[in-house]
Amino acid sequence: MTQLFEPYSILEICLARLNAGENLETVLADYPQQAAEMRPLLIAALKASRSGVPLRVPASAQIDSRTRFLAEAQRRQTKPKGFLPRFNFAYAAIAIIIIIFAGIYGTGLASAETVPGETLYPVKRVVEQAQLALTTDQITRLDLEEEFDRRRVAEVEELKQEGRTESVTVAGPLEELADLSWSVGGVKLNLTPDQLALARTLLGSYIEVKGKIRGEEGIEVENLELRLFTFTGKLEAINANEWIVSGVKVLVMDSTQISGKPRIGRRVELTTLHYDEDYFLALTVRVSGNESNGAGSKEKNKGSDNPVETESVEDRPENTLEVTQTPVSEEKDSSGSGDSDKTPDSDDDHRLTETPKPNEEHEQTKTPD
Amino acid sequence: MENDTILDRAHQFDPQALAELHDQLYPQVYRYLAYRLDDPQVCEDISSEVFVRLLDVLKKKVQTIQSARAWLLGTANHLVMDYYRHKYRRRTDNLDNHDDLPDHHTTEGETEARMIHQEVRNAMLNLTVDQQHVIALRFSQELSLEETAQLMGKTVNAVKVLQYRALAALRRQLDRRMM
Repeated sequence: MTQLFEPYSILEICLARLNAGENLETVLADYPQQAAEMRPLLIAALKASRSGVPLRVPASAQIDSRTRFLAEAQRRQTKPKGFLPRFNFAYAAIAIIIIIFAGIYGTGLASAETVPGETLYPVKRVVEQAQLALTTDQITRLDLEEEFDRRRVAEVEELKQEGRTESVTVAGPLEELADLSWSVGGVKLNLTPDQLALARTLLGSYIEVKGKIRGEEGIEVENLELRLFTFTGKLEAINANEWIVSGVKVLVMDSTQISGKPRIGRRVELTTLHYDEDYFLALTVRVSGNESNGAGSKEKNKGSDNPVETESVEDRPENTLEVTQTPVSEEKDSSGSGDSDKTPDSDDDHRLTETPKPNEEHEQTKTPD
Repeated sequence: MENDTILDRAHQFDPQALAELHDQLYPQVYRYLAYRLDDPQVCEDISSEVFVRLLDVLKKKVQTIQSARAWLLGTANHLVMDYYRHKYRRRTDNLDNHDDLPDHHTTEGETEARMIHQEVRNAMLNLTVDQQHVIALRFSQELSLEETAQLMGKTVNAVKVLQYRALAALRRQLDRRMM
């Protein structure tokens, strides 16, 4: 029975009695020998106990949480199952890289909030690429690409607030604001007159911009291009100029280059522009299979109402298309022009002319999503 | 629905079973977090996040409602620690932000209780992971010693010792703050 007298058990008994509503002094009086030891602990316990602070669980919070919970459950359930059968060395390599980094940095999330110029930033990009590679559902994949584009914009916002200068690439709809300035996804662009002329022709298009963020001044644009989305999928339906490829709605115009004979059920490889909420506009279509050697079936129809010339797109490995309309795509100081690597290259001239902004509240409105 | 059937069906991601599971456990998770966090918005965000994460371990780790609760509260504990560790800790001591205040008037007693609790929260941050967890579990929802032990996967005696040390550490931290 020695256990009963050890301080740990006495504390527990005292806590239970306090909880039942007994007075501190009454409780302590029963343990004169331990009173000195117990008193401060019990006072701390009284402070820590919530009694007196009313707390209701907000019904709206519970409903919101339930809604999100169910939506996430559904999303997880409908995840494409093609992962294991299609597992190959490339995926394995990507997975290993992630595991290594996750091991080094505790959680993969450590990199989630990094911005260009920080050590963990490349990890974030690798993780994103892995996510893309592992997503076989085309609609999800395109959504994901746009999600990443939005992240780039958010990163630039953060760099802007911190007044840092970094090479960045952002993509989003090109907009002209009320004050006649131009922006992509809300980030201000600094355009040369030539670039401005080009921007006017691309107003509203989903574009990709490379340049340097310079604090409040926005992005000093080095290159401005249409953002291309490439994907492969099964041709599911053809209704006039509207095709459905693995669930994605694609507009096929006269100017679209088609190689191979498109038939329902065939796999097609597409290079597209983001046309609007629902549609992607095909620039090139390559039908895989026996008949797809491309001979003879290439249609080309320059001019018409398509502002973009598409000749060389097919052979490009990259994701972006330079706009070759007049005026020619604008490049400031030739370094890195035309190279469409998606990671912001740490350029040689890393000018650290920071505009110090001590008053700028670093407002962090991100909630863990 | 029987609890066992709820879980069986939750494992299949049956929406109704998931909704029941969620609603059954949400108040406990919320209260636990409200005990630890002063910002109701953060409290809501983390509550929701904890449940979403549960989806990933549901099949593997959760065989009973008890284990679901233990997992949720344990994860809540870790997310709270992460939250405080992170740079984006916002100062929201402002009473206007407290949704859980009664709408009518706030009595002086309540305001004082609130201030004391804030003090306890801050003091708790210097305790170990388990110490913080045991204090929150025992005082946020008045769980019994046995329930706490079960939730933490420890013996009753281990929890007795743990809570003793936790309260002793809390007292030291509070004293230091009073100075």
